[in-house]
Amino acid sequence: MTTLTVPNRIEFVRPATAFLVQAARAFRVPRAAEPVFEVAISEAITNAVKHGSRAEANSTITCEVELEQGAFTMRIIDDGSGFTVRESALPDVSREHIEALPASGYGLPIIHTVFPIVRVVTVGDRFALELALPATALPPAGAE
Amino acid sequence: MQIEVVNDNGTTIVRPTGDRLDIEVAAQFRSKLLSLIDEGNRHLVVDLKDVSFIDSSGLGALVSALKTLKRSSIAGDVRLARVQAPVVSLLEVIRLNRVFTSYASVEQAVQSYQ
Repeated sequence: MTTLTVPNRIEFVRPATAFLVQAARAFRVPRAAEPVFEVAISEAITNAVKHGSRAEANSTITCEVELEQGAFTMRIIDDGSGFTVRESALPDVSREHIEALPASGYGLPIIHTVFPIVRVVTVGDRFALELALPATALPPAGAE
Repeated sequence: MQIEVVNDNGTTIVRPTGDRLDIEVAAQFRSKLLSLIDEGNRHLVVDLKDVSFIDSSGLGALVSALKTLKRSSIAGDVRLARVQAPVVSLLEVIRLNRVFTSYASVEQAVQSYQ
């Protein structure tokens, strides 16, 4: 397992995102090459920054990455109080209904377009957003 | 992030100069767009030549500007120019390509308002 811990502040979203994308590429996760993959990870970390702090000055975010039994899993662990992950469909957007267009809330739908498994888990006494690609979503070991 | 603003024949061209339009800079970008609208600019072209990464915060800034313009009494629009491939991909994934019209060049985007 590879881990990185950073202060829970906006300026650490970029380095934490870069760490997770690099780890996914090192594990040869095919979707890691897609632009939306990096956006999905950035959204998960941004969510931790927005909602995962107990307003303590030393609040942190820990990123974990592992490839186990063929499944690729990332956990973004924060100091928040957890939340319920709901299936979130993308808004049905069109120019004819711009008033109904949300100006926020695209983060979780973007994450769902990449990761079939999105759930909140506990790691010790902290909560984590876990994003996973099952083994069937990855090429067999040794495949190029 | 610096945001360059140029007026061309009644159209306001806004160019964020950083390569990432994300949570770190989105509030600044949104504020700039809304202040331009507040000053009376109605025809906006956002030149995304330098932007290779955009997240939901950056997209939210564009949506906020568009909704503000559509609410105003004088019709206006936010049009995009020189959108890079990774940003095009994300716009397609979340279907905002149905809302924002994109042009290959700034000149074409400006011309579209004439």
